[in-house]
Amino acid sequence: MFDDIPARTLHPNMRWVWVARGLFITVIVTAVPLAVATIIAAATETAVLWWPAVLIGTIALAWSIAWAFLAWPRWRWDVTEIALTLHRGVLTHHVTGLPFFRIQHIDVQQGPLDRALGMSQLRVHTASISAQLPGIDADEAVSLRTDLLDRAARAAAEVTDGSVDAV
Amino acid sequence: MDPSMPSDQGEHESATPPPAPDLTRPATEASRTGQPRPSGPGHPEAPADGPPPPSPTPGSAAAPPAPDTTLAAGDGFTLDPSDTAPHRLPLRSLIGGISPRALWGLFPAFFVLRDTGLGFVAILAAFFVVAQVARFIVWTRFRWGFDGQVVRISSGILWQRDRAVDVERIQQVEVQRPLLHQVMGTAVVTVETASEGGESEIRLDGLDNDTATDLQAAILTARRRERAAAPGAPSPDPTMAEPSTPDTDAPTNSILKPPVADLVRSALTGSSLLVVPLSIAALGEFAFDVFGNDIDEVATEAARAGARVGYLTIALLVLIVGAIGAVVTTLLRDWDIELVRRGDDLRLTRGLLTRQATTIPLHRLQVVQYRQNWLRRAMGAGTLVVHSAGGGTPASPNEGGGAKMSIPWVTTADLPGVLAAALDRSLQTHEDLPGTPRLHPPAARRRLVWRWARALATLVGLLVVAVVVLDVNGVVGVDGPGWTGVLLAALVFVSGGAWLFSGMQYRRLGHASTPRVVLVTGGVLGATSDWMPLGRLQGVEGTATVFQRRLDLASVHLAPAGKGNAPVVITDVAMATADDLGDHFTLVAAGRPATVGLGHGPGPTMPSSPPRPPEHRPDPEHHVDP
Repeated sequence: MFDDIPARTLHPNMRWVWVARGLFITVIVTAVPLAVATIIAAATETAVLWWPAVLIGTIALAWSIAWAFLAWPRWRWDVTEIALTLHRGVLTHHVTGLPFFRIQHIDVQQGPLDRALGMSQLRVHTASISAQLPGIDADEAVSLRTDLLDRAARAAAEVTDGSVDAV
Repeated sequence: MDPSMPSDQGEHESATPPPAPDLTRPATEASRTGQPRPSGPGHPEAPADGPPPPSPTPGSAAAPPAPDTTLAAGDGFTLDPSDTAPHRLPLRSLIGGISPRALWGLFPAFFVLRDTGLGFVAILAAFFVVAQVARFIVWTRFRWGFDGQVVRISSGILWQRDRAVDVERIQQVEVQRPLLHQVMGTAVVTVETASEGGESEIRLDGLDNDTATDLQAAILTARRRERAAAPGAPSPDPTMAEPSTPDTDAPTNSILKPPVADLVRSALTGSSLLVVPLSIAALGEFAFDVFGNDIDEVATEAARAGARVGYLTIALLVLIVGAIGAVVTTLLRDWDIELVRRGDDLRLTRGLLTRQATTIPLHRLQVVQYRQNWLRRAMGAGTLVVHSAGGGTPASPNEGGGAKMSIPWVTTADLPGVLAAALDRSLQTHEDLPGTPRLHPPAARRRLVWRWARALATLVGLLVVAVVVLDVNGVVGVDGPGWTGVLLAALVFVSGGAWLFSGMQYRRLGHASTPRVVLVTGGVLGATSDWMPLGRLQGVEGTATVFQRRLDLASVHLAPAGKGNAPVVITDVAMATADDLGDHFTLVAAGRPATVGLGHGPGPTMPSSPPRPPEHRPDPEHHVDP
């Protein structure tokens, strides 16, 4: 499970989506302490204590950019013989095996940034866990879903063991 | 997989005509109809050694698209042949969709803005117009479609979402007509699958009546054909295709009927003991509400009275009252509790004043948990909780198809019988439950030592901080043991505690499996055991944190079906074991438990269990006996 790394990577542009998300998070985590500092400064009539906010913001920025470039090579996926396999995670490694037989339905999602960069996101739902597969080429996403749904239908027909229920 | 089997897609192509012609348009994602469904057991699979036949990309469909007259009529839109979800909702669905609750949202705005007079009306009108324009734009993007195989919706302006649900997975199709919809001549169609979310997977609000009923009929027909095409295949939907018969004639076997004495025991050893103290606490809050600021005086008065009676007596009294309260609440809830098997259902009835019955169809059973706290473990008993995927068919109108049932007192002697009954449908005949769990590698203990050390150090740290704060305030005398003494004591406490608790927890850490059921054990002072029928396994996740990887460890999460059913986690096995377990369980989740042994060679894989494996089978590489 951990040892066989799937072959396919995400769309290279995914890094820029993550960087953009990192920038957004940076703005939030900087703005909140800055606002708090301003309020305190106003209440105590002292100068605004700005450096904690800047420090937090710098760390957040550095980490989110570093994370985007560390996470991309770690994100691997593939459609194996029986399952959709996802490998991901920088600090904690996650490996997910989602057998076609268990797939309930699949969403293809596209945010504005995804659309600008020519990507889509697949969300595969089972009766218990749902897996997200971001950064799929927009042209490929629909055919990938078709392929997965097709495999799901075939797998369901193949399983004849009475003790196995899809739910 | 058998790579030698030929592919006979062509044969089936003609055998699977689209079922509902009026609702069916040629699927342009051609594989849905171009690669027809296999028609039963033994259907060839994709070759094992290569990628499966490539799915045609959208737009490559050979069949010329036929105009979809039924649904296009009156909708006022042009049909795009490359669009797989071609239909809009009728324009009047915009009116039908106005929610009265949304109008209530304006209520607070009224109070804020009422002084502005006519301005208020203007603001309200502007608000309404903007909201309706937004709704209209959303409406223009919303499309749905059904090609005889897949129901699709596509929606969203900035964040676009496109959902596809295969008929084979559909559990329920409902057509509802709320009041406003009746006036408009529209209906709400909801399509549900067994997916993890609570809400309907597809909701078409404002479809006109005829289309709604046609769609419902078409989906049901398609699904029936699907099920009929694969008779050997399990029905993923027991509520419709394979109803658990509420047959009162079915043989009823009593499995367990704990006597009153056992119920009392369970009351006195479990969390019900807290019922009375918690009620007193709640009463205290109530007293605070009643007496308000006089509470101090009342409390002082009470303390004085307490001092007269003696605090020991009061403590004893609370204990006795607490015990009585626990017994009474338990008996009220669990009086005459009985677990029976009726047909293929497990049924639990209990209660003194109101009889409660919970039924779980055995094929919906997901996880069986046996929980022992240290007291119950010492007494050789525990609580058994049976989790299902929910949504079972009620046997009678008064009887809920429960999501879980809990039996408060099951002795270790009774446990095998109850387990055998609960897991009966998951086991094959002549097959036993998983045997004695295998232990995890010593590195798991090292991780536990660190975790306990961290937890205890945090505790000590908080205590020290508290003492220091009190000391600053002059509450604690200065002539304490001094910092060296405190540090030394903390060190001894943390390391000793970590060593002791990690040892206890490590000895309980284990897992075992047959091809059909997996068992995972855990606990520190108490003991927990989770049995999970592998036929319900939905997916497998492996995780390895930084710390786990440094110790060459990983965890394997086995996800059962059903909302709120937490995964069964095999924690801290060797990385190599996790690799094999993960691969094995993924195969199992793919529906191949019987055919796939644990053919990953000898070694650290799960025992492809002979019935009753010997006690503690130590594995030279990854498992050791203590």
